[in-house]
Amino acid sequence: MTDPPRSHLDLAVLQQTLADAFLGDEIPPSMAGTRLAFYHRLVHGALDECVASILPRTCARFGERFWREVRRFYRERGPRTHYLRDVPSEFLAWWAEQPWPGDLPPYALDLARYEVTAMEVGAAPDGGRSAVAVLELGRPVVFQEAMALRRYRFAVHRLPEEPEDRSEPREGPVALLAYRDLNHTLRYLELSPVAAAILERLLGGATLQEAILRGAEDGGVRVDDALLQGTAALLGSLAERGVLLGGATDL
Amino acid sequence: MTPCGIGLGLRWPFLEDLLDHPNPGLSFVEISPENYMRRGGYFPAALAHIGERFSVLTHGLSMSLGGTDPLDDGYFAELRRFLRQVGARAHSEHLCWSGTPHVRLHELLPLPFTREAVAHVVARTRQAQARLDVPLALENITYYAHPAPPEMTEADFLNEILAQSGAGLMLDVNNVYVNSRNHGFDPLEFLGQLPLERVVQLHVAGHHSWEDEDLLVDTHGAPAPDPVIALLAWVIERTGPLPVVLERDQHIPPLDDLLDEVRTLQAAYDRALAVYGR
Repeated sequence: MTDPPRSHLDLAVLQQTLADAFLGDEIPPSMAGTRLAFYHRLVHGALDECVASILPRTCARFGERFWREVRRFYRERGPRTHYLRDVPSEFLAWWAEQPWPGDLPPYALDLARYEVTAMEVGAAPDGGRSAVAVLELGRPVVFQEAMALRRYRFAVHRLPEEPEDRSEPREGPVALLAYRDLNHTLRYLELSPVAAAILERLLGGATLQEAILRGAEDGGVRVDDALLQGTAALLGSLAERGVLLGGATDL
Repeated sequence: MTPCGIGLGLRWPFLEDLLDHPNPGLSFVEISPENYMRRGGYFPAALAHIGERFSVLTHGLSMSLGGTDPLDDGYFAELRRFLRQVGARAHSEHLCWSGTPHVRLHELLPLPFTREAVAHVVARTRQAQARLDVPLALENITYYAHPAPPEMTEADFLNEILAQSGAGLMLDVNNVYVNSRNHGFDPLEFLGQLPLERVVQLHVAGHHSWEDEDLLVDTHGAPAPDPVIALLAWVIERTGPLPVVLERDQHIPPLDDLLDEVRTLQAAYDRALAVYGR
C-alpha cells in the first residue's frame, strides 16, 4: 500500500489504491488511525455478512480456517459481481482452483458448494416458459431454469443441518439434482450414476437418444429394457416435479 | 403520479407481514432493484403482489456512478427491464463509487470533493441517464473521511454535479445530520445551500454512535431521532409534497413498530406541509 496520491490526483489510481487497502487483510500503516480506515471495517463487514448468510454451516464448522481463505479471496482476487449475493459463488469458483489448504478437510469445498448451490437455485431466474414439443428420441429436452446437477466427492447432503454438528460425511461419489418447485421451495433428488450421466448429457443439449447412449457409456451400463424403463421413470418424475418441461422445438 | 407522504423501504424480514397486513396505511414502498434483478423464486413473486397494493419506488445500490470502470451494459439492460416491469417513474442512486475496473467492494464509498471528480461523475451520470427510460436522481451519502484533500465543500460538490448533469436530488436528511456531526457543520446551513427545487425524494433513517471510532454511523439501525425528523420537516416546509422513505436495515423491529414510526413521521410531514401551504 502506498499513500493515496496527494497531487495530480488521478481518480482511477486513487480508487484502486483505496480498493486494495479496503480489501486487504490489515489496514495499511499509512491509513491506520485515520477515518479512512473505517471503510476497511465496512467493506469487510458487508462481504463477511453475505458469506456467513449463504455459507452458515461451512463458516460455523471451519471457523477461522475458512475465513482465512475468504480473506485471501478478497485480497488476491476480489469480488467482481454487481450482485452481493453472488460473491460466495465467485469465491467458490476461485477457491476450487487454488492449492488445497492442508488444515481443512477436503469435504469443506463440497459443503460450501452444497450451500452455495442452495442459494443459486433458490434465486435462479425463472426463465421463460417457451413452447415445448412432445418428448422424442431425436429431440433435446427443455428444463426449467431453477435447477442444478452437482457432483460431490462426499455425502455432505446427509450431514445434520445443525450448525454445531461436527460429524464427518461419508466419502463416495454423489450426484444431486437441486431444483426449485412451483411453490418456490428448494428440493433435492439424489441420482444414480447412470441417471446423473444421462441428465448431464441432456443438460448439455444432447438429444434424448444421444443422452441415453452416451449416458449409459459414461455410467458403464448396457442399453437394455431396464435402462430404458428407468430413464422413462426418471423423465416422468422430473416432469411431475416441474423440472422437465418437454421436448425442444428447435432441433 | 408519484406518491407523496411517508413510505417504507421494503425489506424481506417483514415482506410477508406487509402482504398479510389488512391496512398498513402506506401509499408506497421503496425497493432496491439489485435485490430482485436477474432473480426468480419467492421474493420476485412476492414483489409482484406488493406491486398490486402499493406504488413501488426504486433506489439502486451498485451503479457506482463515481467509479472508473466502464458502465456495465448488461447491468443497465437488466435494470431498464426491471424498472419497466415495476412501473418505475424515476430511479435514484448513490453519489459514490463502489468498484474499480478490477473489483467491486459492495460499499458506498466517498468521492473526493474535487473538480476532477465533478467532471467524472457528471459525465457518468449523463451516460447512465441515457441508458435509462426514467429520470435519475442522486443521493447525498454519508462520508466518514475525505479520500483526498477537498477542493470544495460538499454543498458545492453536490450543486455542481446536479447543475451540470441535470439529475434530481434524492436528499437523505439522516446522511446530512450524520455528516454534520462527524465533520462539524450546521445541517440547516448546509441544507440552505442546496437547490431544494431539485429535490425529488427524501430518505429518513436512524444511526448509531460508534464510540470506538468516535463517529456517528449511518446504520439504518434505529428509529429516526428528533434532529433528523426536524431536518425532514425543514425541507418539506420549503419544498411542499414529496415522497419520503423510512429506511431500516439493521435491528429491524416488527412491522407494526415500523408502521408506528411511519405514522409519527407522517404527522411531522403533515405539520410541515401546513407550514408550506401558508
